[in-house]
Amino acid sequence: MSLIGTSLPRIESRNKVTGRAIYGDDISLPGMVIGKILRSPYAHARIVSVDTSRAESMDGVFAVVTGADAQYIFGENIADEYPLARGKVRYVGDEVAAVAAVSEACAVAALNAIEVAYETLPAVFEPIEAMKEDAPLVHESSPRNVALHVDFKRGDPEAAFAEADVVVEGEFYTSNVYQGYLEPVNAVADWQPPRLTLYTALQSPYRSRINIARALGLSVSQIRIVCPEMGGGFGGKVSTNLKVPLIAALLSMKCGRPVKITLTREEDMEAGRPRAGTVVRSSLALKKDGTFLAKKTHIIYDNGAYTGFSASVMKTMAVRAENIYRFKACETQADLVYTNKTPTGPYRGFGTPMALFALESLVDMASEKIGMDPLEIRLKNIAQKGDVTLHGYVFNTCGLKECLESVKKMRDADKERQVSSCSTTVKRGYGVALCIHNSGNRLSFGPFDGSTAIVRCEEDGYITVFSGEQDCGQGSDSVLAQIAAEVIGVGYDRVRVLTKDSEVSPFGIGTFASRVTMMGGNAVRLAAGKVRDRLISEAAVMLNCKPQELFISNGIVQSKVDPAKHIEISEIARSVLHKTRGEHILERAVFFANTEVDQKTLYGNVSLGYCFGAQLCEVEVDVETGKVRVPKVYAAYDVGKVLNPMGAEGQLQGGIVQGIGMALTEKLAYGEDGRLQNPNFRDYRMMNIVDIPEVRIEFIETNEPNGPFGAKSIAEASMDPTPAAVANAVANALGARAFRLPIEPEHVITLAKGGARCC
Amino acid sequence: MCEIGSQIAISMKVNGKTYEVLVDPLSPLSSVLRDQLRLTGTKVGCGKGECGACTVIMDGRAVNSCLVMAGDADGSEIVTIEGLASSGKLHPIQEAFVETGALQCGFCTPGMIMSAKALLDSNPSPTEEEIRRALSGNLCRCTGYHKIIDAVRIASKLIGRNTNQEPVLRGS
Repeated sequence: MSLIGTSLPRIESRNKVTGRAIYGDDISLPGMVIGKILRSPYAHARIVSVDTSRAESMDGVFAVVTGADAQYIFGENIADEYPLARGKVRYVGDEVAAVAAVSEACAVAALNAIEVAYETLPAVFEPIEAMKEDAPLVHESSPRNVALHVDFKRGDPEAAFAEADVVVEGEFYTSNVYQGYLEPVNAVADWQPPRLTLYTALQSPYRSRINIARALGLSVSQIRIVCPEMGGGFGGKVSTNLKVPLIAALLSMKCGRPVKITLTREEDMEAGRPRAGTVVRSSLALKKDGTFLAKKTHIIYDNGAYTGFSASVMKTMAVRAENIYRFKACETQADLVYTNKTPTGPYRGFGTPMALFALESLVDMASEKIGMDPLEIRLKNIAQKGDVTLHGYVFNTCGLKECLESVKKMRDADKERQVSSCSTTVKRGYGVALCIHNSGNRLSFGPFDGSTAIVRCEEDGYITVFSGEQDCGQGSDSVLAQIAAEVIGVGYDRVRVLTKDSEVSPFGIGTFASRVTMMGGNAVRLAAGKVRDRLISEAAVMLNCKPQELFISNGIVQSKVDPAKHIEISEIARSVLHKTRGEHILERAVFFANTEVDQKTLYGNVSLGYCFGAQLCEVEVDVETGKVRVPKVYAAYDVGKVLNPMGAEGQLQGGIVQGIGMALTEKLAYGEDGRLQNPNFRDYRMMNIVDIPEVRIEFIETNEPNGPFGAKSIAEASMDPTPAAVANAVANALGARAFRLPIEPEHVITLAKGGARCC
Repeated sequence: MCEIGSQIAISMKVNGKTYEVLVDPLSPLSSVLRDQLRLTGTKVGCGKGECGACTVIMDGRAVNSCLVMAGDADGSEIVTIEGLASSGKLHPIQEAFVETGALQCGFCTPGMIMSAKALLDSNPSPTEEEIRRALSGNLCRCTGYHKIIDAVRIASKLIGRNTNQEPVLRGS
């Protein structure tokens, strides 16, 4: 029986339910001391002096480091930060100094003994303000605080707008949103000259190693990164918040002992790399029959104090979302703007939820304006299989139409659904939004997107998979195990996926861009295929038959012709080990994505396959309290072949719940002094088990020719359309639209007063 | 100077074994469990009682171990996630979490399971509403909670079945 399409529990489940899974903070090495970070209390200030003498002389203190110990500049997209601030601080929480001490209490006491003299500077917190000529400069080298400007045109947008019967436009705001992984960022650094070992859960260990080496003035092979279990990442642990491993490393290099830093939740929120707040000014031109013509967009993206991965996120935000429709032309600009706030970074969706909030709101506005049903106007304009889109995306498969039809059908067939009109104070509404996501992204790592895998057959017939793609908690290791088991013909429980360790794992670009099933999965599929072929050819010799007549099932090579001929793969593996005098059956494969994108114009087919989805949300809006509840979400997704339905459903349920949080409650709120006002789970409201909606899911299974067993991706797409769908549902309930996320109660009340319609 | 606070000796029964430990009476129980007893299955997600990752069962009640002062744990009986499986056999709640896919990154899982255990110990057949209420102190960012609710429902059935087959429900 095929394992593909079967709901399988995760390979590491047992460790996770018994408390045996080892996360970074669980690691303790002999001689290890505890590191703590001193952070800037000011949003923008010159560092006049740092006096560490008192801290250094304290008993129990092993090392103190400051910007003077951090001389190398680094950055994922733009080299604009040091491991510790030098010269000036740029946000409240910026890392200024750090200590390593015998205990946490001792480290805190030593931090308090460090004297820093600051000269405060005028600060700027809003990107629109920051772009003005007279605004304070966060980085002197970036005039008007613009770190990056992108603009491009496709087709003839002017002509398309001139031809339009109707134009709708809006200015859409989103807030900084925290990834909310339950495990705070942590690292253990162990410097044994000339080598540094880092135990830290990074979504992209090999990419990070390049940056870590640069930031510490080491060469990459001096650094070994071992990834423990990751307590959630959602993009927040891609590679952007490297300060923690870097500072632990500086401390370890100074005191010669292993150093562990685990951020407090407050630090993690204040100095993490949250989703950026954005402003999207956009207009959409269409014919009165509902045909979309063109779109003009200007994105202003709140970079925060340092860039990290945000330039990549902004570029993706500028391109991806609108490929769901058949536009003829577009004109797009985007500005990445420094402010004196927490540096931002990737979070599930990589800019897509913000772009879709604007786009899908405009589509609903257009449908209202021409009096066409929101589902109808989408059906009229969506991309289809075989399309090459405005931006050069190639859709081998595309289930958008089926997804839209499915959510409508699910809703209409839902007998438990409340259809009665609401009370006078609680209005009901429905909203739909579509999404697209890639499965790997050509722009992720310089000239290539791909993955490497090594698969080994052990003497006992067990299979070990080595991949460089890290499981960040979403279950990718289990997908890789499932693919290897299926290809070779062994039980799922016979496959082990090795922990990511740069000492032994093959190179991997990392876990982001919803790429692991497609890229890592294909690499494992190829390497496992070679192992299977090798086992069969060895078996053919041992059984004295033709390889063509052999197949492997349940770990046994069997003949289709003569049932008496069979041999266990463990026996083959042992025989090969002896015959070759010590070689395992070990095969390596590289999977390379044959995609192409112009780095400047961003035109091209970024991915081998795109997944699509539709979400239809029901909301209940209390116009007196302003509270919005989401009782139901209907979601239909084309993720190619569903490899593991239970895993795929889990991704969708989790993503939808995060998306509702982004739509309604989640916002990192900064005060007038630039200080984060809600750095805890009490004031930063994520969805709780009592808040969640019923989620009904249907998968539209297309068969992506490039995907392993026809699969595409799901991780990020799960969240992409949710904020837009909720916003459209609220607009539907109130007859007035919110242009800002999250949609907070006071805003709902104002909207309701202005435009509540009787339902 | 780094002052080390005066330490006191406490005695507690953890997962059936009695421990005598010297502790700073103001340090959190979560630290005593993790750093001194090396029971790192109990996770710390916030240190403020806001996420529930550190939930253990203390004298029959689910508590946030990050909010319990070590001094107050003297004489108490504690069950942590490490104390659930017996002789290598998973507890029905653990089994249900595995089978329903109620875990992803796994960081909230120990606390979630301990809260579920406290619930099912006192209320073997909870309604969905009761499950939601009992787990409302535990945050999970990965699963969206749906499969966790399924897992607790299934665990309740598994435990019920064991009870019917065997005269006495074996505790952990």
